Amino acid sequence: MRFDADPLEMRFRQHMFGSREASDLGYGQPGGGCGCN
Amino acid sequence: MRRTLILAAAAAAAVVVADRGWARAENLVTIRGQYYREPSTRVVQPVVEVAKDLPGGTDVRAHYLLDAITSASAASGPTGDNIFTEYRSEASLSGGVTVERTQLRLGYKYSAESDYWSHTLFGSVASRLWGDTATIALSFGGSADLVGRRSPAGNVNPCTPSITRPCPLRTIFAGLGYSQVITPTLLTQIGYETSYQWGYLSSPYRMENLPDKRWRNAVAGRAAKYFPSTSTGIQLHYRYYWDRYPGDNPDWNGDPWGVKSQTFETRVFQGISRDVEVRFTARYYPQGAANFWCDQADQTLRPNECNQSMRLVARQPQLDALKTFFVEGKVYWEARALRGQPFFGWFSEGTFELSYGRFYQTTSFADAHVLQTGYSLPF
Repeated sequence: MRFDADPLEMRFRQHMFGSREASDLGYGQPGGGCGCN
Repeated sequence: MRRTLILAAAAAAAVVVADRGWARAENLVTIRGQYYREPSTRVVQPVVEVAKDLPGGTDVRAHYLLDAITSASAASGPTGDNIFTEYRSEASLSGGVTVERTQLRLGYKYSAESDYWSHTLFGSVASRLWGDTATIALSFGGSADLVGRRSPAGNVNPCTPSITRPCPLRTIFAGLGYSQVITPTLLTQIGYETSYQWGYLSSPYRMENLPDKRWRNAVAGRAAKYFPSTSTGIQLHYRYYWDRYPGDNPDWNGDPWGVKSQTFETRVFQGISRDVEVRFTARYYPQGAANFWCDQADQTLRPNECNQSMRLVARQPQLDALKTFFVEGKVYWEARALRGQPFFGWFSEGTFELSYGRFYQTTSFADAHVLQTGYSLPF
């Protein structure tokens, strides 16, 4: 389900939003690499 | 006008190639730099990705990225504010094979930092239907993570992580999507995604104890319309998310999760000239709190939850009710004008991109600046 043309940008968005919101599906932001600890 | 023309050409040819998960990897190398800055956290992320077609209908993709995260989170150390920088490396490799109208892709991703390690296997199967006007795609995968903690523990979770004895977290996920060309300039997509997680779901630095299982679901719909007369493309996205605890949780009367959220997003692409395209994005995200969320600072806000949640403790702001709003502007420039120029002519066959976004948050993370730059070169 990828409407996005740029997979790198998609991954960055998934990581950014996933670390600040609670509705990613848990596979887009491995680790604490989000400054959210 | 690369992105808009991708959609226009795709729709005009009645072929769903806007989904590059289907399209074979053109020979392309991409480098990007991504910067995220909010009051207590800064992330700098260089990335490189290579995609290469191979004989026999196969292709290969690989990427490597480095996260440099500098944080002054009050929760980053046992004694209070503690500015620190940590690095996360991530690499992936995937291969695809296309047989007639069906493509299979399998891949592996590894991520490592000082206190967290993750292995992910992923795959997808996509098939074109109805005279190439539609695509149905199934994606799937699983990850095995280890959650550690740099400083001495003091955690309330049953598993107390450390560097030498990290706690496991497992995830399996799957998604099903369907894309359909409605008219030569109108493309639509619907999809469902789900994941199931079990293990250590808490943050090791936040003195919290989250439920040990989580079943997460999302449905989404998207539409893209291109207006050739003005070289304008518009995309509308909507997503609804919900999660729940599978089965009965001994620490909570009822479902401790119950997070629900919606995502509304629109993107407008506008061709400016033969070589320049701009994109504007606006995204609005409202979210409800997890059922067991208790405001530690003001427990009168949800007294029932606070009384019941003595065994389940959440300190992540992400699990409270929140709203975020993201706006971004982006410019693409195909660098043909550099042809024949000394040195710069090397870059004339590629595309530069630059974007700036502002991420507004109602949580204690506060607002953020988001800057991205990149360059893609076919070879």
